[in-house]
Amino acid sequence: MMDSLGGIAHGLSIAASPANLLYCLAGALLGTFVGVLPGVGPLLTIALLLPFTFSLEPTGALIMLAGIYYGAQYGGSTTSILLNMPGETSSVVTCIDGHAMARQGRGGPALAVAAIGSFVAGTLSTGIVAFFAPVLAGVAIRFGPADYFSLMVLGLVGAIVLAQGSFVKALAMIVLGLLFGLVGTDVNSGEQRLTFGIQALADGIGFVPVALGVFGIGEIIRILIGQERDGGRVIPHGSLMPSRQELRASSGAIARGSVIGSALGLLPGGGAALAAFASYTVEKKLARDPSRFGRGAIEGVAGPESANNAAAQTSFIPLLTLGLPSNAVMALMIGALMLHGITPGPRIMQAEPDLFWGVVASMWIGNAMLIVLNLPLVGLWVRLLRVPYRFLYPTIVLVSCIGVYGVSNSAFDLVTTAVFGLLGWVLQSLRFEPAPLLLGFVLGPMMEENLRRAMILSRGDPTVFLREPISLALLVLTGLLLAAIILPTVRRNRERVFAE
Amino acid sequence: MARIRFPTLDRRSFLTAALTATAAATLSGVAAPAARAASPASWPTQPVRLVVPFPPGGGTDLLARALADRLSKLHPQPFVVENRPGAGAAVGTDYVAKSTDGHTFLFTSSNHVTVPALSTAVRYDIFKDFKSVVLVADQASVLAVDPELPGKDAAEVLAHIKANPGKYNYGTAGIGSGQHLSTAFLQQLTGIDIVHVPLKGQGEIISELLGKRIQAGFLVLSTALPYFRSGQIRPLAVALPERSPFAPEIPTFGEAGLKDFAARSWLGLLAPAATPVAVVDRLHGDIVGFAKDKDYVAITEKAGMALVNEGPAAFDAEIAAGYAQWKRVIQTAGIKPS
Repeated sequence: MMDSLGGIAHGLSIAASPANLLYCLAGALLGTFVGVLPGVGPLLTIALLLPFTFSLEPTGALIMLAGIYYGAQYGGSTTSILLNMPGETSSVVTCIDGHAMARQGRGGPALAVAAIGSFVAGTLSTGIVAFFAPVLAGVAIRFGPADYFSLMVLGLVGAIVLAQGSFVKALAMIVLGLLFGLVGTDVNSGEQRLTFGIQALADGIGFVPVALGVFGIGEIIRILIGQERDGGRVIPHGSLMPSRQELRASSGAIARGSVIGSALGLLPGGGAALAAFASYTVEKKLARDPSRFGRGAIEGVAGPESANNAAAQTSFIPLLTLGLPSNAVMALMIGALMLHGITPGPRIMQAEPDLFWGVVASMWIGNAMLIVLNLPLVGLWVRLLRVPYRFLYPTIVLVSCIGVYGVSNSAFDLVTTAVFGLLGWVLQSLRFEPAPLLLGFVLGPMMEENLRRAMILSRGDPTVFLREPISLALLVLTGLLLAAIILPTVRRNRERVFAE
Repeated sequence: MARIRFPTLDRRSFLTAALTATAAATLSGVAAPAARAASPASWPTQPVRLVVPFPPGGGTDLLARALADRLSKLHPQPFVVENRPGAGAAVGTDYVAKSTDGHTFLFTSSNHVTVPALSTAVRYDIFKDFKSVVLVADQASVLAVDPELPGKDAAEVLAHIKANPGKYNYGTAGIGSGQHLSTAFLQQLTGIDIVHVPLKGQGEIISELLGKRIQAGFLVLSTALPYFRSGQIRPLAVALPERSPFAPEIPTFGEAGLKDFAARSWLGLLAPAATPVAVVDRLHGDIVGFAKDKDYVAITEKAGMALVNEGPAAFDAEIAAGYAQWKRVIQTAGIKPS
């Protein structure tokens, strides 16, 4: 305990040096900026900046790169809320209620609550990283393939809750998402699946083309065709800041989101991707009136935004203590550390205390900077939507294209984005919701990988999922959630039958 | 001279140069298709691209960026790293094989030989489509195991695994990955029977080893060293001709009694086959010269790479030998080409 307090004090003294404060601010600013540009994510930015960090000292370099990462989480929520354009898995759910709020002219409160939630979650999870990093690193190792599989099953069942409309349509979207996730090289045999001989599909379909396509581009097509009344324009009215009532409604969601996000962020095998989805599911299940969700419920923004920021911070624990990246951005950070001769690993806290505590402390400072930066920006972002759509939408599409192309310099990805844009338009016109599709697409491949891995390790014995205690607990939870989803429907039907 | 004879081409190249000055990485498609393999004296006449067939952040990307920075200072045109990942390395490699602008090169790893050895679907020929420039560096690959496996040295541990067929697991970065092929080769040499668990990358191999779900795997020395030093993972033997200066306590496979085992993991620069020899020589000379640059040497050392700077002839021989060896391993193991 004292060690941690001493460590934090030491870390603050390092992170608060003028140079490191500057790196922190530069990273947070740059991250916000690239997060706001649809399609241009932290991955591309960090990749481009990597050579510049050669000349920095390692703590400063990592502070800046970390700043870009969580700054982009803030910025990403801005485009999700205002433009319905998720740049990352974690901001997909924010689109659902965040964009609905923006359409009602409540974009300001949605953005503000997202920023406040992120800050609270960031503070809490930074504390968790500081006090429990060494203990929690062990948890990540103990989580095996069987446990991950059961976690993904729980996540997929939870995806049904994401949908506000028809249960069957949500299920259909999840299955469609799973099918898209199947495209690529089979992990255990090396065979090509559903690639139709196209080499560019050998590694599967990219997340960014699918997410930008089915959400943003699909909606832009709808607006241009004129299916959308008011041309999809979001006219800001009312307060930019949330009302006291909205804040009160958000506070519980922020607290729960922080806890859920902190826990899931620890799991490098896809936990962080689930955080926002899990938080949304919990909020919708706890709500007195779940029908508000999908129509601009502020808890649907506050919870997931808090959860994804908390997960972004705690995912540094497996990175720093085990060298395990939870996503591509984290893998890049390992590359950056290696450049400075630092290999993340079990001894990093003892061997590089300046780096470890400096970065932990800078996370908190960076979050504080971000909220100071972002709250005044809310007004500016909302005003951005007053730009006539004949200027705004071509710009968005152009920036998206640059972002999509930039990730792997592949023109094929642009075609993919266009195809998914058309699909998004068709689906939205038929009132199929894209969020469950995306969740199936993200979780499907991870679920399959872990299923097959668990089966190899158990030499083909399926009872392994019931014998592993963590896996068993998750499956029981899945059963309960399934019952909670199905029973009310059944009861309602029975009541209807009895009424007749 | 070419200017007078091909006025249209000249205008196009002027345009390209003007555009690339602001957006070097994105406008590749605009470049004139006709080979402007300019005379070496004036080369380069436009930004030079080092295509890395992997996503940003890995060892290959890192070294390519360190090289590009320094080459930019030696030439009047910038050198830009361009990541074109996909299909093991086949997407980026194919791209360079088909490029004709005289300013596009391939910076790749030993996947260059394993991918075509595995797959019949690659649309380029590593022997006919490329000229070797320089094999820049070697990365040390270490066979590592769970420290709980009994045995005082590599031979004893392997004997224990052999005495328990099908009981233990090994992890790799996937079907056809370097680790998979290396282990397949090891199995052929020693007769051990151990179960393959395809994972995603070295990070997962380490975490599954720490979680005791797998018992063996090949790891890159530099990233695994902290775990070797902390005793959580045990190194058995390193796939190098000599012991590594970074970890002299780890014996080589030769010392461990496996003289025939070789799994060289290299990083090197290749050019499209039509590249003039003078350009190849110039780049080779530049890169060899960087061995005097302290910062550059420091970067490679920190990443656990050994600078070898083998020239075109030695590089050609390595590619031919590597391809033949892995082709044989793959056929013997019955690893299916995809």
